[in-house]
Amino acid sequence: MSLSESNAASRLLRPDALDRVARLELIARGVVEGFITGRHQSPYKGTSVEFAEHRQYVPGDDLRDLDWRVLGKSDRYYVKQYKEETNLRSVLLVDASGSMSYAGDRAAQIDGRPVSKFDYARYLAASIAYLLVHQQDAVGLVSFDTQIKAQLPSRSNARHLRTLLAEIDALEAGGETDMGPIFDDIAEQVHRRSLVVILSDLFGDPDRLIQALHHFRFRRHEVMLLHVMADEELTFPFDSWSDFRDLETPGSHEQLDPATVRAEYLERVRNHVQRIETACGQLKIDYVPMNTRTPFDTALASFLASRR
Amino acid sequence: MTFVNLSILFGLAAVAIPIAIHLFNRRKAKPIDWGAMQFLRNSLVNRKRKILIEELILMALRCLLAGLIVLAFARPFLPAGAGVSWLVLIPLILMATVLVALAGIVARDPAWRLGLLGAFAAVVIATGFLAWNQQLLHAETWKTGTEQDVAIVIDGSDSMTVKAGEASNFRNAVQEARRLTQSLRAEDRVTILIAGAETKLVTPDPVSVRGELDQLFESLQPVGGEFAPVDAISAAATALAAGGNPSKKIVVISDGQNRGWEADQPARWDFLSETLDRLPTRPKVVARFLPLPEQYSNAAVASIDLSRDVIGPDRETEVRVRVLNAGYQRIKPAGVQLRVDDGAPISADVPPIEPGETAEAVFRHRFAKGGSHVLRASLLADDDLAADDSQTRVAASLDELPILLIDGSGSGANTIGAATFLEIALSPPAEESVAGQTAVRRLTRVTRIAAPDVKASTPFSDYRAVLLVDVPRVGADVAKELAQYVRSGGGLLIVPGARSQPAFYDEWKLADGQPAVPARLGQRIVIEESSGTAHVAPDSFTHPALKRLVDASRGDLAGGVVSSYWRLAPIENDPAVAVGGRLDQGDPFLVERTLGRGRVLMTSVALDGSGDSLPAQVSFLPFIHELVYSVAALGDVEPNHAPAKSLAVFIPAKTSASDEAGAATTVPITFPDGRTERATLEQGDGGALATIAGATLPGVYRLDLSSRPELRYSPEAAPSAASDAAGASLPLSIAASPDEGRLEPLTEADESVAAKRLDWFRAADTEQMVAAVVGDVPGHEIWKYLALCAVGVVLAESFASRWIAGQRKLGATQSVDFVSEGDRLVTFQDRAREFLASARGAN
Repeated sequence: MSLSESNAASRLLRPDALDRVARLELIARGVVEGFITGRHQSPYKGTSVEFAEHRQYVPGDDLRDLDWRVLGKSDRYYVKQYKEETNLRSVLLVDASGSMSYAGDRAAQIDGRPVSKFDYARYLAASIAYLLVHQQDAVGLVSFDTQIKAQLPSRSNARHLRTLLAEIDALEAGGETDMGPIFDDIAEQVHRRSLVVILSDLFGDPDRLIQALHHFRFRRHEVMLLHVMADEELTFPFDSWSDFRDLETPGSHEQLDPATVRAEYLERVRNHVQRIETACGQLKIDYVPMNTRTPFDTALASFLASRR
Repeated sequence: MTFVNLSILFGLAAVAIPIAIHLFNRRKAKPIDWGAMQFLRNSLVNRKRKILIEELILMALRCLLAGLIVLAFARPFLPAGAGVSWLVLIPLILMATVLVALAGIVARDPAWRLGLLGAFAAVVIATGFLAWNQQLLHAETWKTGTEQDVAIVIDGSDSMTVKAGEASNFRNAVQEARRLTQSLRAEDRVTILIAGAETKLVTPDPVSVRGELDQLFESLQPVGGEFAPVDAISAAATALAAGGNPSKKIVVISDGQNRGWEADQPARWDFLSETLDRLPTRPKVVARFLPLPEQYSNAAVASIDLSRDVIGPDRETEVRVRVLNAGYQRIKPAGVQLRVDDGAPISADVPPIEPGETAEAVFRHRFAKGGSHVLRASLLADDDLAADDSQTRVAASLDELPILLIDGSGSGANTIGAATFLEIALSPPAEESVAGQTAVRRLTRVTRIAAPDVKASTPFSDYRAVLLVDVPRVGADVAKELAQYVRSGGGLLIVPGARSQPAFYDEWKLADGQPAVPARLGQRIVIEESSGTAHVAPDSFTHPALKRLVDASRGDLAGGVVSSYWRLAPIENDPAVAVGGRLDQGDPFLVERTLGRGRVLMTSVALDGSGDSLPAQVSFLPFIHELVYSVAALGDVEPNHAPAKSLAVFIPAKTSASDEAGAATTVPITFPDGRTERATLEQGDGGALATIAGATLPGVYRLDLSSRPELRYSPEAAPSAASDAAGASLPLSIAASPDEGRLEPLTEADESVAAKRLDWFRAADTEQMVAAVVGDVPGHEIWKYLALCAVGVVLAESFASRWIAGQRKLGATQSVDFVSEGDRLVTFQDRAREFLASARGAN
């Protein structure tokens, strides 16, 4: 591992976050496994599976996995855990448009500074990539704004992880968002059935976005939509005269008394979020709202836990 | 308009504060790098117009509030009679304020904003300059600079004694005057006048305001009668002329009753204006009108009338006392008392009277003794104004009415002719008196004399009336003497008969060429029996003496047949000549002429029983009596008068040759209030003209003529002289008009008569009056109204901003349903514990 790669890894894979995940290994594993297996109902289940460890039985576990020998010897219920040689391919789609660089004051703090949506998404992406690679899943990366900025094919080795992390680390937010055409491209490019993880604030035309999601589903990809938004964007808490400068179009700004538009603004955000959430429900897409106020590790862990 | 705190007007710049805050807010807008611009922009597009309107409303209200508060603090002051209509200008300025506020929001270009603020500043500065200019102007108008002489005229008329609130208006006026003197400077001098029927100078010389004025004010009493502002101000001007201070002011404190205002006599006001001009400096007149009472109950004795012109002991006289309700509500007086001289009062009832209406109380009285009698009618009513509850009248009654009947028939008393009929009519036989009654005294005493016996030396003036009956002609000297007799107050009744010579009557002229008779005899008409008859036409009667006979039930004069008469040709174009009645053909029946102080009556019918049958009518006797009384009534002193500053009364002499040299030219006269003044006597034609100055107080005046025995009313005069029965003086009555008790307020038109001609200022209240006199600019402040407006604007602003905020919050209360997984649990640990617990539970 090169020095820069190592730095990238350490910076993105927040030690405390990884520690937390490690400390709760049992659960985390269950989470990851439950997530992967539960979500994919893999048709390849049972092939090239290597035993990994035992774990205590919990209601809901498949009785086929129960280790009858252990039960016979010790009268305890253990489940055999296998190291699955995955056939899961996943692609992380990271939004690197200008709007993602918004941080706000309420976001969870990292290094004493509120984390921007973009950083939040990068950390999430890195963590997910780490977890997936750790269980020998193939992970690819696409970052985009109006066009694809960086692209890495899906691979599952540790070396690839480092490259991937370095790539994520090198990403910079900027430019406008236009997700529709890019998602269409990606849907076409990824041939094998994959897990598509989208990390974005989803600003832009919701109709076009939903159309692109349809495309993913049409290509029989699993889609996980991690909707990252800052708390300020959801509550619009400003009350003094403000000059809102557009992050995507430099030089463009609006000067106004926030109180005058708050109701209308919130109404619009509400409609936007609801619209996407409803569409995801219909498309059986896993829609995950991510408020940057929540520390991203907590968010990730709880998110994984909920998908056990 | 001026401002009490003019400099605060610069505070109008405070109007810019809300605008500045708005601009500052914009400038100091916190920059926020924002990602969700798409929602913001879409929201803005939708709401931009509404936001603008809301902002405009709030900004306008806030600027208005600032402007109002500053204006109120500047204490704007509307001077009375300001040339600039500030009540229009102030709203305009405020409106400009609002417009500037609005433009400040709408204009995006800073240059525009600066321009607008500059324009506004220009408006404020212009307003300030205008106000300052006005202030200088008003201060110049009202400044006193030096010490001043102030004449305070207090209305002391009867109407001021009416209670208005706690005390009478007179007391209120005195209080205001006291208040005014307390505000004057030490070196100012004050003259106080009480004006009613007469103007009383309370302080003969201007006094220092630091003097013992309190006691003086306490002692002031109303003088009664009517307030005559022209006289009062004129008197004040005279008093001011005596003062040594260069600056002069006249203050009139009245109740603003229109009575006595003389608005219909602008010439009097013009004269007053000229009088004021003659003072070293033309005085400013400050008028202060106290409010008239709202509740007012007042009945007044309006008049005392007698039913006859000639009163004698021969019969009862009807005395009618008219009572006027001058108050605002129905009144029921307890009654009316009439007192003749010092006799016992007699009472009569009066019905309830509606406001503005009158009622009559009727008394019957026989004047047993000749002379002047004082009748005093008093109203028994408990009303607000006592001064007009009594009234006086002087009635002169005769012991005897001497009549000279000149008979021209030449046939003596034995022949029945007109003279005989007249003599019988005027001296009814004694047996006509009703049996059982005490002998009725006869008033008339007829002396019959044949025409040829009449000489120039005949003492005509011993008779009250001379009758020329069927006289062909008299001698030229007699004619001249007779004319002189009439001119000096005698009465002449001409009854021309068949013998009368038109040549004489038509040519009977006075020294100055005027005809002595009222009409030419013209043609004698004899109506043949075949062509019908003529009658007198009562419908045509206009003469007062004939009018009493008009009533058909009481008079049958029209039944008399007239077959011959003189077709009288009244002297044309002579205002002294009047036709008093006609025959049914249209020819005159009675023609009257006033001549000097006397009167000449002429009939066209001979009244001789042959050319007409009038003497046979029942009404003949009263007809003749009325005619004779009518001509005889004149020539007396007229004892009843209206208030006058200078009252002239002619007093006939006993003899025509009474022009004695060295006679007293003034005689004492006692006024109703007991003081004695002197009346001047001016020798005139057949008597003397007495002039009484200041006869304005109502009541009885007594003229002492003892020093002039030759005048008919001196006490030594013959029994026929009508001097006062009670004493040696001639009573004269001045009757006030009952309208003084009516309390009709002055109209603007009335006041403008004064305002146009004088340097007039009407003070709305005591403060304004004091301000106008001490040299401050009188007027009224309007800051209270501005403050009220400001409170209203505060409420409006508060309401508007709350409403707008409410409208904005309405949609913002619903939050976006966007909850991270992590937020649903406090921490991941909780989630883990929950997981473990569930795992254990399953175990």
